[in-house]
This record gives sequence, structure tokens and C-alpha cells, in this order.
Amino acid sequence: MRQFLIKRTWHALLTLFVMSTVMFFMFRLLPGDPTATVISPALYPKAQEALKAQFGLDKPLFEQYLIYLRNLVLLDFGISFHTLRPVAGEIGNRLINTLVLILPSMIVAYAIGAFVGAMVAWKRGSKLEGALVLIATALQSTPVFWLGMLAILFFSIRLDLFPVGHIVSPGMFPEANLQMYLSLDFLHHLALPFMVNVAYQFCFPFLLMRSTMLSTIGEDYIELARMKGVPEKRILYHHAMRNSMLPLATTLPMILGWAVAGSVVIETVFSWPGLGLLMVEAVGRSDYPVVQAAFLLIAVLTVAGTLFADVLYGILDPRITYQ
Amino acid sequence: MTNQDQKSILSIENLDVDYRVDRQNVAALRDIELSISKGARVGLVGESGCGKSTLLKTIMGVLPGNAEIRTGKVALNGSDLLSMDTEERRKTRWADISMITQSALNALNPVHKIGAQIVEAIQAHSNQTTIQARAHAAKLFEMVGVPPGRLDDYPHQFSGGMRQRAVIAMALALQPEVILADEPTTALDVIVQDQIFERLFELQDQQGFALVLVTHDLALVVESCETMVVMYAGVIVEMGPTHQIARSPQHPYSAGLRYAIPDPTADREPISIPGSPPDLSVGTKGCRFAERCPLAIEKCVEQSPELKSTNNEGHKVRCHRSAEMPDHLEQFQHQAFWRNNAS
Ligand SMILES: Nc1ncnc2c1ncn2[C@@H]1O[C@H](COP(=O)(O)OP(=O)(O)OP(=O)(O)O)[C@@H](O)[C@H]1O
Ligand SMILES: [Mg+2]
Repeated sequence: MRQFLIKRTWHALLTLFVMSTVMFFMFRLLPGDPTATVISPALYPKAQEALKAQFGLDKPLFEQYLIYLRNLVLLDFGISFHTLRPVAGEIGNRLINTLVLILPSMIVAYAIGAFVGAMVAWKRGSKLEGALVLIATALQSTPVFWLGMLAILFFSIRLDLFPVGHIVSPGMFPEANLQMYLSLDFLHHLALPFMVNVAYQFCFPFLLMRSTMLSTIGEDYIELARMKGVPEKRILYHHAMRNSMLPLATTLPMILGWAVAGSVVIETVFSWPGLGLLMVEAVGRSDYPVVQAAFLLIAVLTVAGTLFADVLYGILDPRITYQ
Repeated sequence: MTNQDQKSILSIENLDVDYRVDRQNVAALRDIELSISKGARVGLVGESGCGKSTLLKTIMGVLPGNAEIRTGKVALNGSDLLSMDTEERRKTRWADISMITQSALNALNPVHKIGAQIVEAIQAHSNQTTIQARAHAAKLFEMVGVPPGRLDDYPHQFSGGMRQRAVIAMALALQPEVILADEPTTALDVIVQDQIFERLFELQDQQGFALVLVTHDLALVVESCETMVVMYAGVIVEMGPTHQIARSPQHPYSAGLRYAIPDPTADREPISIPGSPPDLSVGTKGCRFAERCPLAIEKCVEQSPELKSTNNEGHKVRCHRSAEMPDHLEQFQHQAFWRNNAS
């Protein structure tokens, strides 16, 4: 187990190294001059060169690459072209905003989805089961931006229950701090994007858990547990649900990808100042240092998530050997 | 009440079970009548699909959702299992009747330790602490010949034979009065099969539980079970003392099974019964074996026979022509007789 962890951590670090290298060369070799937005071609050539030197762009590509790697290790992502402030600071705040929205909503969606899916399969053939399957299938094929806009239209504009977007009311909290995240105003803003994400992400675990449970229920070990006189509740939780969690756990890395993709869309629809929205804005402004850092961060999150999923799966299924 | 009945631990009376398949009913069991005495060893034989597992599942109360018990009584020590409420029924399971299932690999939950699965059975019926139950499980492992040090293994870490032993250990856990064994060794090689049966029979002699053994190995039944039950297409066609049935089967189907096993002392080839089991759809009339039976006459097709006693030693047979069987036994040993007469 420990060896496995060490090995997988090495793999993860290697993956990240390759990712960051690819990203470095991709941005530099892509057509179009990334510096054009900052170093205007209209400036005097002397001024252009001075600026280039300031950003280190006069050095050979390989040397630039080494500097880039050193800076990554030092968590120095450079300076935003747009705000001219360090990227690390810009992103840190946005990351927290994303996490407070996406993480709890994903956890809630998966907990509810898996549990409800398991329960309707256990009491199979109920009216509720039919209705939920229909709703989940429909919701799953609905684009999440459309779902978000419908929610805004109905709950915010028609019913006036929730704010239309943003993380807090304008001017309430000039600085993002703990007090802000604990305020009622924040929760009020959080509610709608949270529910939309839950509704959207609920479908997959619900449908998967239900179909897995339906086949688990027919397994011989469930029958044996019943023959042993094990109480039904225990059969449900300790055998049927426990074993049905395995396929869901294998899809965890995939789910992380969806969470990231979902966050970009939801944050855009709800003007939620998170990492996803930052990325969209930065791409629009050709703010390369920010885009690059955001991509890297997402890569780190995904690689870490995959590592976590591997370990979790190994814990859930003893048949997996750590080789 | 005869003496026979008083010793009976498990008795089944006119049991009918159907399976619903696509709005049609399949008559899986019909008119089953069976009485198992305390400590008896009963062999249950019959070809694949004749309803052996269905019968055992009915006794255990774990029929699948599409099964329906139409009539009948399954009584354990005189109290009817079928009319018990869920909680009463749960308590009788395993404590009074346990089962060794057909496939030990699938019967053990792959994500839980084997020891824990035995402890679970013990704790479902007693207030033993986990430590007590584990100590008990270790003893059970010793009894079936698995090192107790392997209680914390997962099922996939066991060989097929060890898994089967573990399942037997589990079946013994609460010292039930009846153990049902559904082809307990199908997936194992012959040597391991022999070892496991030997162990199982030894344990039976020590502990005195009644054993109902479902198997396709007729030789094993003849060798080791004092009573034998022959099923065909959902009905019991013959039952009684094994030596009687083996020596002179009263039902043509039993004769077919009997002469299908090679006999080193007799100079004959084993026969095989031509044809295949009938459609079990509800509403067919006549003897279910008629279309494969060399002795079938008009009456057999028209009217289904009753299960009748042939003597007072519990030998019963369901055949219109059983009285003539002794005259035909010689013929039944030849393949040609089966082929020529079965249409
Ligand atoms: N869940 C089910 N649904 C519908 N029909 C079933 C079901 N289980 C069994 N049957 C049918 O009931 C009949 C008896 O099946 P059963 O499993 O009891 O046979 P068996 O004697 O145990 O056979 P084998 O020796 O192959 O184990 C068969 O015709 C089978 O097709
Ligand atoms: Mg069977």
C-alpha cells in the first residue's frame, strides 16, 4: 500500500511535469504573438525591446523554459497582463470561490444520487422509480447552461427568490474574507447555482447506482445473506449498497472532468467569480499567464483526484492488488 | 401418527410452486410431498431443470420475486414456515435450517472478509460479541479443515475447495437441525469432491443434523444416502430407501437414471434416456415422463398418476405401470429398448 502510494505519487508528478512542458511550448509555438496585447506593435522598437527584456522574452526559448519550471516550483506564475498583479494571488481567491460552490454541490449530488438510486432499485417497480428515471434521463441530456438560465428566469426573475448572479451583493464585502463566506448574503447567492449543479450532477450517480443495484440484488451473496437470516436493513447497506458503490468509484476521475467543465459553464451563467469564469475572462483578454496558471491548476486538481480515486477504489475493493 | 412421522423434522405437503415468465406460468413444482427424519441423509436427484434448487429455495424462503407458492405447507418441527411473519421466518433461517449453495464463489461477498461473513451469520441470531463469534468461527474453520489463521482472507484469496469448506463452516455455524446442500462440489475436481463429502458426512455423524444432498452424482447417493428422492420435471416420481430404489427401481425414469451410471460388476454399457424434459407450462395433463417412457400407454398420456406407497418402508412411486416394472428391469438396461419405444 505504501509503495503503491509512493509510486502513484511519482506518476502523478511526472504527469504534471509533462503537462506543464506541453503547455509551455504550446503557448509559445501557437500562431499569434501572445505578447501583442501588452507590448503593442505601435510602440517604439526600443520600448518594445525593453518590455520584452522585462518579461524575459529576449532570452533563448530553452532558457525561458528553465526559468518557467523554476518559477512553477516556487509557485510563481508571473504577472497578469490585465491587472498587472501576481497571478498566484488572483487565482487563489478564485479557486476558493469555485471550491465552495462545486465541491459541496458535487458531494451532495453524489450522496443523494447514489442513495436514492440504490433505494428505488431496492424497492423496485415503484411509481417513484419510474418518475425519477424519466426526470434524471431528461435532466442529463439538458445542457447545464440552459438549465441555469431557466432557473434564473424562474426563481430569480419571475419569483424573485434569489439574486440573478454574483457571489455577494455589490459593495457588501470589498474584501473576500471568512466573514463573507459565512454571511447570509453569500448563502443567498450560493443557493441557486448550488441547486442547479446538484440537479445536473445528480443524474449520473442516480442512474448508475440504480442499474448496478438492480444487478447486485440478484447476486448469490445477497441470497445467501438472506438465507443466513441477516436483517434486511443490513443486507441493503452492508451488502447490496456497499458492493454497488464499486462502479461509481471507478468513474470518479471522469466525474472530476465533468465537475471542471460544469464549473466553467455554471460560473459563467451565474457570474460566479470562480476559476472557471476567470478562465473565460482571461481567454477573452488574451491574458496568457492567467490562462496558463488556471490550466495548470485544473491539471493538478484532476491528477490529484485520479490518485485519490485509485486509492479509494483499492480500499473499496479488496480484489485490487497494489502492483 | 406413525412412528415415522414423529421423528420427522422437516415435512412438506402438497407443495405447488410456479414461476411467472412473460405472463405465462411455469409449473416448477407440483404436488411435492416429502418428510425428512432427524439426522437423515437424503439424496435428491433428477436432471437439470427438474426443480431441485427451486425446492430448496422454497424451504429456505428465498424464492425470486417472480415465483409464487400456490399451495402447500413446509413445516419445521411441526410449525409451518410459509405462514410465519417476516421476523419469525428470519429467525428460523440458518439457526434451524442452513444451506450450502451451488456456487461457493458467488455465494461469498467478494468485498468482505470470510471470517466476518461467518461472524455475521452468528450475530444475526445471537448476542455474541464479535470476539466470541470469531473464536467460534475459528473452531468451525478447524472442523472443516481450513487453517483458522485465514479467517481474515477475502474470498478471492481462497481456492475453490477452501471456499466450499468455508461455506460448509458457515452452514454449521448455528448447529442447525437441517442442512440443505445444493450440488456443493460441482466446480471442484474429483479428489477434492471426495474429501469434502467425507468431511461433511463425518460432521453429520458427529452433530446429527439432517442432510438433504442435491447432486447429479447418483453413485454418491447410492453409496452414502439411506434415503433417495427422484424428481422429474417438477414432481417427485419415486422416493424411498436407496438400496430398494437402486436394486429395483419402480419408476421408468429412476430406472433410466440407475442404468445411466456405469456398473463395473455388470457387463453392460451405460444407457442414456433419449429426448429432453417436457415443457413445464401450466395446464398439461398426463404423466410428465410419458413422452420419453418406453412403457407409456394411452392412460399415461391422459391421466397423471398419484404418488403411491409400494410397501410400508416409505417407498413411494408415481407411475401407472409401476407394478409391471420388475418384469421390465432387464430390458431397461439396454439402450435399444429406450430408443425403440420412446417416440
Ligand atoms: N427465476 C426463475 N424464473 C423463471 N423460471 C425459473 C427461475 N428459476 C428456475 N426456473 C425454471 O424452473 C425450473 C426448475 O429450475 P431449478 O433451478 O429449480 O432446477 P434444478 O433442478 O436446480 O436444475 P440444476 O440441476 O441445473 O441446478 C427450470 O425449468 C427453470 O428454467
Ligand atoms: Mg439447481
